[in-house]
Amino acid sequence: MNTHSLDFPMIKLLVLKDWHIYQKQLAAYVVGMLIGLTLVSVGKNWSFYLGALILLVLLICAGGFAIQSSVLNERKEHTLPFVMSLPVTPMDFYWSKLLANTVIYLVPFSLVVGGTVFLVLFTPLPDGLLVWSLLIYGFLAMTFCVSLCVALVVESEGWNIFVQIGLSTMVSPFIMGIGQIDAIAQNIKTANIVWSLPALGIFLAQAIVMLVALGITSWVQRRKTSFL
Amino acid sequence: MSDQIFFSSTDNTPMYSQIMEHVLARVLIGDWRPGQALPSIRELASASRVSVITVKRAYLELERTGVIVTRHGIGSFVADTQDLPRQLAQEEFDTHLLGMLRAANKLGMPAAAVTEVVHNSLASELTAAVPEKQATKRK
Amino acid sequence: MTTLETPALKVRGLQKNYADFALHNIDLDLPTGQIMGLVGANGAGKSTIMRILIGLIKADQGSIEVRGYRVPDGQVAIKREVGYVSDDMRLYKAQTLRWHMDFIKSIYPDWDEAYAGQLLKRFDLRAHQVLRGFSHGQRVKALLLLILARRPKLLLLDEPTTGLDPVARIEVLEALAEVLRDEERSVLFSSHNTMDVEQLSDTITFLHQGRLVASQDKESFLSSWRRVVCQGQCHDALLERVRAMPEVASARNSGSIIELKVRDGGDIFQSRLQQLGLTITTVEPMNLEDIFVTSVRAGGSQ
Repeated sequence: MNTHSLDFPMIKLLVLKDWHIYQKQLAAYVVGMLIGLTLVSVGKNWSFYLGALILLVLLICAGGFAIQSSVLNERKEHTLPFVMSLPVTPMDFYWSKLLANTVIYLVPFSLVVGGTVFLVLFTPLPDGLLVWSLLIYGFLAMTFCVSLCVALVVESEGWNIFVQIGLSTMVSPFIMGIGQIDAIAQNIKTANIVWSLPALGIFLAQAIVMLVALGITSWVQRRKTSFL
Repeated sequence: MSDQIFFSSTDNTPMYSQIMEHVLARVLIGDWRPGQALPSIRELASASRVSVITVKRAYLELERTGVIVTRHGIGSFVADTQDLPRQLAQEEFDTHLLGMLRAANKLGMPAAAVTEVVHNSLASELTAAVPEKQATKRK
Repeated sequence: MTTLETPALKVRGLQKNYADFALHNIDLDLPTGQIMGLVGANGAGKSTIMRILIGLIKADQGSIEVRGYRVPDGQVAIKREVGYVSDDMRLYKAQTLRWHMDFIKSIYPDWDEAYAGQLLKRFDLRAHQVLRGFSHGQRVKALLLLILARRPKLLLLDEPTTGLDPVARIEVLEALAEVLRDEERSVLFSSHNTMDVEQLSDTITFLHQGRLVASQDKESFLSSWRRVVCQGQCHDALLERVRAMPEVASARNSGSIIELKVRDGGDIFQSRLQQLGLTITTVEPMNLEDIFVTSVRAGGSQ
């Protein structure tokens, strides 16, 4: 198991395979998100909240089902022995899963983030929304990353569901929480984009959590004795 | 032409001896003539869905009894020997004789009684038995 | 570099411990060009051995070489040259067989499209059907097609015929027999159906509760075991004396008829039986199933 000699062409094939298997579902999410973005842009209060809710739910689902399709189902549906019998090392396999999920998640994530940035900056929506919404998207990216890491090393389906649902329910406390931080909350309805210290601190914390999760997962993966 | 051994699904005879029987039969029938090359061990094994080692054993036994000869690196051939049918008949005789002796043993017949029965049978049936030889070949 | 002289498998002192099961000190040798049948009851450790050989599980101890490459360091090279199919392996349900074929083709340069086409016909499979609609037999045949068409040098088949209907079973065995034609290709396959193993294998390996009971070439294996029936005044003391003979793996009587299952019971053994006052009436070969059950039972009681 040489970690320093990853087989990139092989990893690419595995990523393409996961992409192919998930692409139809992914297309459905993209359509749903476009609807959500349209609602946000209408400019009415009700449509803004409905659109934002749709975007949040779809982004959580797109990530959750990507993990389900590429990692958990591989175990549950016993396609894992098939993949592992291909000329790959366990580390090749591990990196292919990380990459595949990153690529798959980046599609809806960049659509939503890009769409939000565009709408906030170029429509009558207050520009101050930007930092606040990016903090929320950062939190979602973090929950996705942690869920993926757990899925890669924890075999139990129960624990995986627990972690995914648990992290998703943390989203609204998080939104309320940052609403309590004056440095962030007071700018939401203004036209000022303020990168306050608390906001930057939260971004940093999110990045650290993701890196730590990835580090622990790579360490555990390297010490595994069973790859089924 | 397909060279393949047909195995019985109910016969308890080991597979290698079923292969021997099959080869013998084809030699006797004249499918395979003296000097003719036999299918290679691997070929026959693959076609008959049986392991290489089993065919190898059958060929070895056939070689030992003089039915075939194996030239290293070339292959196996039906033996050129003229008295092949005689040898085969001899083998058949030996098998039946052994069977008879076992049966006699079960009956608890003393040796003298066995010889006497054989002697009497010879006297009365020898002339009739000769033309029937082909028909009684397979039990 | 692997040559004909490089053994397909060379395993020494393989050890793997689980909480409720362990493989004990397994040695295996499979010369290139041969077929080895791995026989054992469920839970004997057949699948664990296969998974260790292909690198899906790490062994705790032992040296393992597959086609000259060490496990697990050489696992990528091994997986390139080895075709592995197991009972619990599945394909992607929502994809067609054709998609799977193209996927494998993109990974293995040795993929033989013409041969794949022949196998499709022989196995009576439809390439454009999605796997969800496949029966168990069709699924097994699809898996076999995917590995056979890339002509691997070693096949590791974990229970390939289990659960197949008789027709599918024969089709699978026929495809396996075809592999035999090439003297560079070897097969290790496990089964609890001794009939399949008996017919195709050059070497037989018996596994019971994680231990190797026997591993020998089939012909000498079959010819070393005999079922001996004899007659004589039977009493417990006599039966005990017979059972104490090292060749005897099992002995039972019904009235004056005594049935023995013996290993390496040559002339000397038979004359010793006669000295005990027994008359031998039958000496006949045993089939693999009988040998397996007898040796497992004899091993368990010792």
